[in-house]
Amino acid sequence: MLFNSFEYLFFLPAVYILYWFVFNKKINVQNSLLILASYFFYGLWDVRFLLLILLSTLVDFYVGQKIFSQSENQKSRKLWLWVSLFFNLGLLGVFKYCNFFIDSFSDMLTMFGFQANDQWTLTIILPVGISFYTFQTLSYSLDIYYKKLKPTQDFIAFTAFVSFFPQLVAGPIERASNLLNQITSKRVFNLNQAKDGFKLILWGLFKKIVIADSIAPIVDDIFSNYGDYSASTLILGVVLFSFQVYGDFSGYSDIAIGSAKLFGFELMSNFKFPNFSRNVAEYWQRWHISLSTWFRHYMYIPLGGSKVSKLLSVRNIIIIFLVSGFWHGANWTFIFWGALHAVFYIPVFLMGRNRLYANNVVAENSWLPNLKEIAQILLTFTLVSFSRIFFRSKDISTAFGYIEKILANFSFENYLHPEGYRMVDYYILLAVFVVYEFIIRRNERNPFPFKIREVRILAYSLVIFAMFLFYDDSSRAFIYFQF
Amino acid sequence: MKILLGKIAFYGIIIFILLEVYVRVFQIHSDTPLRYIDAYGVEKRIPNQIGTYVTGNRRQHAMDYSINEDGFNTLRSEIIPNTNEKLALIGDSFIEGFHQDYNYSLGKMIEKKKDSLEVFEFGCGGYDLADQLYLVNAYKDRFKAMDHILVYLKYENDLDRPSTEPNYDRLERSKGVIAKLRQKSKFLSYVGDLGIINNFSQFLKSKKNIFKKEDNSTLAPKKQDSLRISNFENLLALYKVDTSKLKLLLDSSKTSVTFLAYCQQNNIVYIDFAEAFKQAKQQTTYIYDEHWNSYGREIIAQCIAGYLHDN
Repeated sequence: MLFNSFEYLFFLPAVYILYWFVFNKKINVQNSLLILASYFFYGLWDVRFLLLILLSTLVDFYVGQKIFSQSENQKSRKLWLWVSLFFNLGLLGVFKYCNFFIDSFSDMLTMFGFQANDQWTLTIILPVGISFYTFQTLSYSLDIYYKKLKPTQDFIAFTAFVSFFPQLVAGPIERASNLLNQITSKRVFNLNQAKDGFKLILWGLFKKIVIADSIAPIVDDIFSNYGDYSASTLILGVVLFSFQVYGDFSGYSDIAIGSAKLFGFELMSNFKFPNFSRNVAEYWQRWHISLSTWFRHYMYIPLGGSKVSKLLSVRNIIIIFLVSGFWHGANWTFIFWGALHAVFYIPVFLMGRNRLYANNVVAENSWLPNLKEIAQILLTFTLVSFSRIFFRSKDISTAFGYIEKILANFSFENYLHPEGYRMVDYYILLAVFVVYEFIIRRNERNPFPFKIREVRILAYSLVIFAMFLFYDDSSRAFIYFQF
Repeated sequence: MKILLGKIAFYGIIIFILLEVYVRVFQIHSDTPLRYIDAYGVEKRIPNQIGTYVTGNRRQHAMDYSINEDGFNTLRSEIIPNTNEKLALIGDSFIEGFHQDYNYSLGKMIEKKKDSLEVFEFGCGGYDLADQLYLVNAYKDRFKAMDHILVYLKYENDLDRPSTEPNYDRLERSKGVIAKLRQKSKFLSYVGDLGIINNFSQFLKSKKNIFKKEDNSTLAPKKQDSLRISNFENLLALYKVDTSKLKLLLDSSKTSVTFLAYCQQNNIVYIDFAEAFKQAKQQTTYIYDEHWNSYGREIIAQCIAGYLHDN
C-alpha cells in the first residue's frame, strides 16, 4: 500500500478510528491492532513476505532474551548476537544480494576466460523494505549486546515495533530505545501532536506528488535518452533527479512521521533540509539521518570511529560509505556512489570540518545566507548531484556514458519534453520550493510555521491546489521501497 | 478528539472554498456543454451553449466553443437552399473539436480550400459509427440536402456495435448529485477532468468486485474483422444510408487491411489521410492529447478538399 494511494486514504482513518475510539482501553489491544493493521498494510504487496517479517521478529525477540540472560558469559552472548546477524544479514544476502554475487562471479569467470552459465542467476523477488526492517531488528539485538537496552518481555509490543506500518517499508529506521519504549507505554491522545501529524502528512504528500512525481517523467526521459540530448539537458536531468529523490524520500519520511504522530508516536527525523548543507559532512547529518545514525552507532564507532589514528579513521569512513552504498542496492553503481561520497567526505574530515555545522543551520542568525555560504551550498549540491548519476543509472557503463556526454562536448540547448510538459512551470515550482524550504529551514517538524491562522489556511490551500495542479494519475511507488 | 474533528471540518470547508476561488481565478476548469436526447432520440449537446474548453497537462490550452441551434459545436447551422455543394462532416470529439477555436474548425478549413462548398459539422464526443449513422437516419430530411456525408471512422473502436438505441438511463444517471455538484463547482469539475473522480470510483469498483474475475478475453484479429464488417453492413442496412453519398474519413495505418479491401470491393469511398500525416513535417496532434492540432487539421482539410476537387 502506498501512502499516496486511495487505499491509504481509507486505511489510515479506519485504523485511526479503531485505535482511538474502539480499542483505546488496553495498551495490548491497541498494539495488537497496530500489528494487524501493519501486516495488512504490508500484505497488500505480497502476503508471502509477511512470513519473513514474522521470522525476523521471532528470531530477534528470542535472541534478545538469550543475550540478556547470558550476561556473565561473553562468549555465549557473542554467539547469540551472531545468530541474529547471520539470520538478518542472511535474509538480505538471499533476497537482495544473491544475484549480484552470482553475476559478479560469472563476470569474473568470463574475464579469466572461463565459460559462465547464464542460468545461474535465480528468480528472486526483492521483498519491499527488507533492508529497513532487518536493520531495525538488528539494532535491537545489538543494543542489548552493548548493554544499552533491556529486552522486552512483551512479544506483542516487540512485534508492533518491528512491523509498525508508518515506517515499516522505508524507515526512519528506529532504535528500540526510542520506538519500543513508546509502544510499551500508554498513549494519550494529544491534539497538538495530531495537528502536527496532519501537517507533516500534508507536506509529505506535497513533496511526493508535486515535487517528486511531477519531475519524474522528465528525469526518466533524460536518463533514458541521454545519448540524444545536449550536455546542458543532461545537467538539468541530474539536478532534477536530485530534487526528485529528495522530494520522494523526504516526502515519504514526513508522511511516516506524521502518520506515527496520529497514533501518539514520535519517530526520529530523517531529513533536515540537506539541500542547504555547507559541506558533504553536514549533508550526511541532514540526509537519511536514521541510516547514517545506524551506521555510526553499529559500525563506525565499533570500528574505532575517529578515536583511532587518522589513517584508521579514513579506513573506517571508506568502509562505512562502501557498505552504505551496498545497502542501497545490489549494483556496482551504488558501491561507486558510496565510494564517491567517501572521496568527498575524507578531505572535510581531514580538515577537521566534519562536525563544524552539526548544531546550526545555514544563515543561523540572519534572513539570507552570505556569499560564502551560497558558494558552499552550491558546491555541496553539485558534488552530491554528480554522485547521483551513479545512483540513477542502471549500470556503471551507463553512468560513465552519461558523464562522458556532459564533459566531452558541452553545448547548451533548450530542453523540450516529448509530451509537451511546459518546463517553465517546473523551474518556477522548484524555485518556489527552494525558497520556501529555506524559510522553514530551522524546524523540519513544522513545515507551516505561521502564527496567524489565516496565513496557515492559505498555505494549506495553496499546497493542496499545487497537488491538483501537478497531479499525475500514474501514482508512482516511492524510490526507496526498492531498497 | 471532538475539537480535532471540528477543526478538520472547519478547515476542510474553508480550503474547499479557497480551491474553488483559485480554480476560477486561474480559469483552469473546463466548461463542458451539457448533453440531452432530442425528440428524434439523438444524443447531443443542449443548443446555444458557449464556454471555454481547457486541456493540457497544466491546463494551459483554453479554447472557446459555441453550440449551435442543432446541438453541435460549429459556426454554421441553418441549411439555406442554394447551388453550393454541401458536405456533412460527422464524427466524435475529433470533429466536435473542443480542442480548437470553433472559428477555425476543420469544416471552416475545408471551406477555405474549396470554393462554393458549405461544410456542416456534426461532431459529438463519444460517438461511434452506430451513433453517427443513427443521426443521419434520424435527420433524413436534413441529410437529403447534403451532397456528401463524410463520416470519420476510427476503426479500432467505432465498429463494435451493430445498432444503437437512445440511452435515457445513462443520461439520467449523469444528472445525479455528483454531476450537479460538478456543474455548480468549478473545482469539482476541474478535479473530474483530471480523472481523480474516475480513478476514485474505479478504485471503489475494484474493491467491490475483488472476488470477480476480470474478462480479459479478446477476439482474434480475423474474428474481430469479420465482426466489425458485419456490424458495418448491419448499420448501413438498418439506418438506410445512401452509400452513394457516404464517404469515410480514416487513417489507413490504423485500419484493418481486410476492412479496407472490403470497402474497395463494395464501392465504399474512403478518404485516407495516413500518407499525408506520414509526410507531415510537424507534429499533427497536440503534444498532451491525441486530438489533431491546427497543422493536423490543415492536412486533413487538404485531403478532403483535394478529394472533392478531383471527384
